[in-house]
Amino acid sequence: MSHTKKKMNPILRKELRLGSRSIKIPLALMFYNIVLALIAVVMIFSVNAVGGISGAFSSNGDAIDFSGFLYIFQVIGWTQLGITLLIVPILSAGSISGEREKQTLEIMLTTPEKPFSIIWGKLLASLSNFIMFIVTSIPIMAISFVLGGLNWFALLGFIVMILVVAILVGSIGVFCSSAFKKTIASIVMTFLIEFGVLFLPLIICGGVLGVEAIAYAAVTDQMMNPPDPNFGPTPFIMILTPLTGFFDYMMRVMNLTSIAEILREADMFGVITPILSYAWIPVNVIISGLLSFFFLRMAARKLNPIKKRKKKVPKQMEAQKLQGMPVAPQPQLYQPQMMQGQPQMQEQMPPQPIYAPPQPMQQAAAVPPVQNVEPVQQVAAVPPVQNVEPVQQVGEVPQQTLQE
Amino acid sequence: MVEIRNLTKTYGKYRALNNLNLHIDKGEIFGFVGPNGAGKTTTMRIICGLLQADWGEVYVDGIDSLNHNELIKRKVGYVPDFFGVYDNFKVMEYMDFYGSMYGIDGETVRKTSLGLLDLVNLSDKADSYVDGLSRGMKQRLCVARALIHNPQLLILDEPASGLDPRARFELKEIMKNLGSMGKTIIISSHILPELGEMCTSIGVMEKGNLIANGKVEEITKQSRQANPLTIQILENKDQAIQILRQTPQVQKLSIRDNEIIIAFCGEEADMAQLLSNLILSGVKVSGFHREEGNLETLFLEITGGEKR
Repeated sequence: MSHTKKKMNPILRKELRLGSRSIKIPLALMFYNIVLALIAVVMIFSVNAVGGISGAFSSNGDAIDFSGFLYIFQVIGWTQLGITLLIVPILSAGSISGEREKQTLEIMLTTPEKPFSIIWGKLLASLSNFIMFIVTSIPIMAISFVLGGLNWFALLGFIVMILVVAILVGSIGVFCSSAFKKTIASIVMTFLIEFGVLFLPLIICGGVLGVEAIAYAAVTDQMMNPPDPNFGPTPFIMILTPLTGFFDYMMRVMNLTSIAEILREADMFGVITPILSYAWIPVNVIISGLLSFFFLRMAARKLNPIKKRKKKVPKQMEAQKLQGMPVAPQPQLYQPQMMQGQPQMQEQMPPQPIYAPPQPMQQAAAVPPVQNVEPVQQVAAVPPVQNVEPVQQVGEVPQQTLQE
Repeated sequence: MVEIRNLTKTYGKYRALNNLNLHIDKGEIFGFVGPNGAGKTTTMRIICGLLQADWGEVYVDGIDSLNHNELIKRKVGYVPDFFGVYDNFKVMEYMDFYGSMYGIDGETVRKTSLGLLDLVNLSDKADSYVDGLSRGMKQRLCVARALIHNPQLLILDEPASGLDPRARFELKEIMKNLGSMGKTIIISSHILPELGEMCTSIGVMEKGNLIANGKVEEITKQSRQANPLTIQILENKDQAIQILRQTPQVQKLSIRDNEIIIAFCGEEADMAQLLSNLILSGVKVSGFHREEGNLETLFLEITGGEKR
């Protein structure tokens, strides 16, 4: 098996081929980078004019502090996040519903390609377009490296962190695309779920923490020895919230601090803080990955037309089946040859009309019981014969083979 | 090849398929006939694995479709009643994409595609964009696409709809070729005379029930007996009517100028007897014939009970 070459996901291959013919993505890329470049230029001049946020070009010319250019990285980094949260839903939310609208989804589903593979290919295709946005913006991001002294690992880390966010948002988009018939509905729902998953817990946790901090301060204001604060589970919910990993990274990369550090400095919780500080980003990335996987699985489930679960069997049919009767409430005009046990039956039955002339047909429609009685009686008479014959045949065959 | 047992499918309260039983032999070209909403497409989609039945079993080549969905998909090629093409693809790329969906390697796909495009008369369009193809060409491309994995069973849903007579003719020729290659084909259509020409057997569906099923010749022969008998008379019309009234096989009788149209349920011999009776009693008969049975009249007859 060492020679088996891993094939590219066919959906991804197709999307790349089709995407390369479309003028939309290059135009979007151009627009995106123009916006970023404008922001960068404005930043450079503002750093220069104000003398730098921390004094890049000192007005008296004594000291030049280039760390002001680090803020270009911050501003562009956060802009990238904002644009990611806007672009990825649009890129991914039409992936399945677009196929549905082109009526190619059905055909796709008649192939043996697994639904999850289709979903995965669609996600990769959306991300491949997104990665182009990130890659083409590297030169602009690099201003901070040339002038600000950040190292390349910081950029690499940034790309990984933003990809984690993009994968999650893309998975939500593909899920909505699979769940909703129209692309427009899918895009709207993607934004709603994106807000619900990324921002809502953050807003709630932040609000709760703030209220708790104020309450704590008010209560302990007059105390000589205030007890350790206990904010309950709120900080731990924050670590589970996807976007905090990115926030944490952006703080760390500037050597500012980390979210856990801020929480500790605010003296919000005691023993676990150092561990939280180290584990914040890995835990957060894993949580994002799991959430993405969940959305992708749900999308594949929505896509799969065959769900292997036991359907409720109508009671009447079940009873008939148990008795070995063919379930045939309406006239069966043609008896299939291949059905087991049926050929013997046919010999004993009068040849059935292949096509019943119109008058009896109408009668049949009006008075079904008359038609029903006949086949049932015949079948009821036959079963003993049916049961015996196959056994005989089975017994005979091995003997013959032995003799030969 | 295809074995359907007790297939039932409901959409909400509407019963699209009602205990359908059907058997299609290997190598047959089976025509599915029925008014809109009869359950033809539902049946086809269930066979392809695009839809789950509420109840019942489908076997393709002896394989249970519900539990071995993937195996079935390798055996079945499906041409839906819409094109489903990517306009930005070239014809060969379109074929290549579906080949890759079946996990066939590029070289094999290219060779197979060339053969298939030849079969559907699209060889000269291999490098054209799908966008520029006519409806008939797109339809043929879809047929070629459905054959990329060399399926034993080909299912076509309303392939002739929206095609001009020329395109229909070409499609029919392709079907005949495929039939001679030993493929089993299920084809649904409203264009009944054409189905009659290319199919070896047909099934008539209405309201989720299969109401007639068998070889084309047998069905048309049977339907012939239900067709009216037209008698043209030059003289002695009253005499003729009197005789007809006395004949037990004559069920209905309508008179239009010199023509008497009767519903006659009887064999050829009875017809001959009737004719000689008329002539012997002095009626001058100038025409005596029965409408040829064709699928169109059969269809109208069978489905006539339920006006839509």
